[in-house]
Amino acid sequence: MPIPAPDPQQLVLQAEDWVEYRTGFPTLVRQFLFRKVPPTGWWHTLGSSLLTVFIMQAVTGSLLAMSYDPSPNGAYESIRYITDQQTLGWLIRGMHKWGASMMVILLFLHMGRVFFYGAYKYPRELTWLTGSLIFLSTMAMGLTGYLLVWDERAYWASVVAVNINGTAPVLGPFISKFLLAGPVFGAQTISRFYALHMLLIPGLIGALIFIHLWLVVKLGVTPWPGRPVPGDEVTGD
Amino acid sequence: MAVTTPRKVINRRVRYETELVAQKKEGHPFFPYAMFHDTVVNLIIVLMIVAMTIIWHATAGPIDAHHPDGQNGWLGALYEGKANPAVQVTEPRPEWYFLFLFELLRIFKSPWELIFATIIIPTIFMVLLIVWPFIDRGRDRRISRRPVGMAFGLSVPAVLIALTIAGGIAPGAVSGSSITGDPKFDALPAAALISSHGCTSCHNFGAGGGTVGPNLSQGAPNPDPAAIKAQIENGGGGMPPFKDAFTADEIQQLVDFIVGLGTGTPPSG
Repeated sequence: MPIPAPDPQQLVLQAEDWVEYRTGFPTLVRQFLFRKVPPTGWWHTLGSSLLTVFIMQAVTGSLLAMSYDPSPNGAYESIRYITDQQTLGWLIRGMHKWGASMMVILLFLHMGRVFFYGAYKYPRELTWLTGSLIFLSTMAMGLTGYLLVWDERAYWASVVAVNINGTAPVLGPFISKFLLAGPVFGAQTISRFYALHMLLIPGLIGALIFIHLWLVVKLGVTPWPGRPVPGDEVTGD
Repeated sequence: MAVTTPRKVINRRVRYETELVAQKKEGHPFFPYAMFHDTVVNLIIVLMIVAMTIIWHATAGPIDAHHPDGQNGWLGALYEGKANPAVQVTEPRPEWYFLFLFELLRIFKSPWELIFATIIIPTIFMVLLIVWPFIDRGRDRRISRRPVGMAFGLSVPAVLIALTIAGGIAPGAVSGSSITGDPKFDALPAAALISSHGCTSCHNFGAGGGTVGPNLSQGAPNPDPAAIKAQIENGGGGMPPFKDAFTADEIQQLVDFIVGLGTGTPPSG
């Protein structure tokens, strides 16, 4: 007696059950994808664009890290190698460089959209708070990444930035000392900036993005405030 | 209902939850409704980044005999000369998104004001940003009902954009050989040192230059030669230390030069 051919649809469903029972991910993904959102438009796309650019920065950054040499003698030469000789190295480095600028622009636009929608108001205060921490961390990424090229402009701009930091009362000298990792800009400084730029701050941003998105999904998307709120007739004002 | 619970709290909670229930009932599914917009915009953004990269790379050449500074592209150089800690020949200009802070240094540049540019204003800005939802606690999200919020929301970006533009077009280092406009001063060896170390990218010695540091065309703000010497050697207030960039003799020449600018008579010898 021939064995009946397995039904492909049945197989997929069984596989999904298998994963579902052990992880719960299929339900999670379904809840994320098919959650209901209010009428949204183009202005609601900036957050997802930021996520995309962040992922792009992580990918291009990882590729750059494979050829980059974080030392005063090798940094500049490795940047030149990546830009001039490596296959498509200029594209990887350029996308990382311009992706950073794009990320800052998108951050401002996204923040502006949230501000004008009043989307930071009750109960979404912590979504705004995590977002503003992402903003500040991204600026820190710009500061630490600028030095890594180790050309004249990057070097002196970073020297001035760290010196300015050192003028802050109480904490300033400590932060400057921490960033410099020594009396002057040198080998220790570049490895410290490198570690901050490729491990510590991106890890922090990744964690903040997770919390931020969790809150966005949990609390729901804020509709345009010009539309009547269905609760208005219940609560007055 | 407990007496201690303010009516306002219940109201905004009821209001939010009613809104959320209605959204769950009548809203559109995120996929494909919102995801369609997301995909289109994400694609455009990534293409814009690639386009900028291509323009940057195609218009800028590497450093060569004809382009010693590498400043030869629509979107700037691929890289400039290698950093040389001993000699500063370029302007310490930050990325464009830090230009607003850079411009604050120009506005508040006397020593007692500097703390406004470096600490006070940035700290106020950061704290306001983070705690804003806890300051603006009004329930109504409609723009017409939030005059104070809108005043902030429009004026802060306007100020940031104005500062960024001002920082971007601010004068930089003097390109000519004259740094003071006075031949007697320009002929001194100190003038050549000032020119080669990029001092004019932050200081004006009489023939123009940057405005980040104090104007030295009439001498230093503190005319005490020992203070000038200490400032050159150790830096401070944003200025890098130049102890290793000059010999002791050269530093003395620079001090005499700046003192001379204050008195109007070039130092002899």
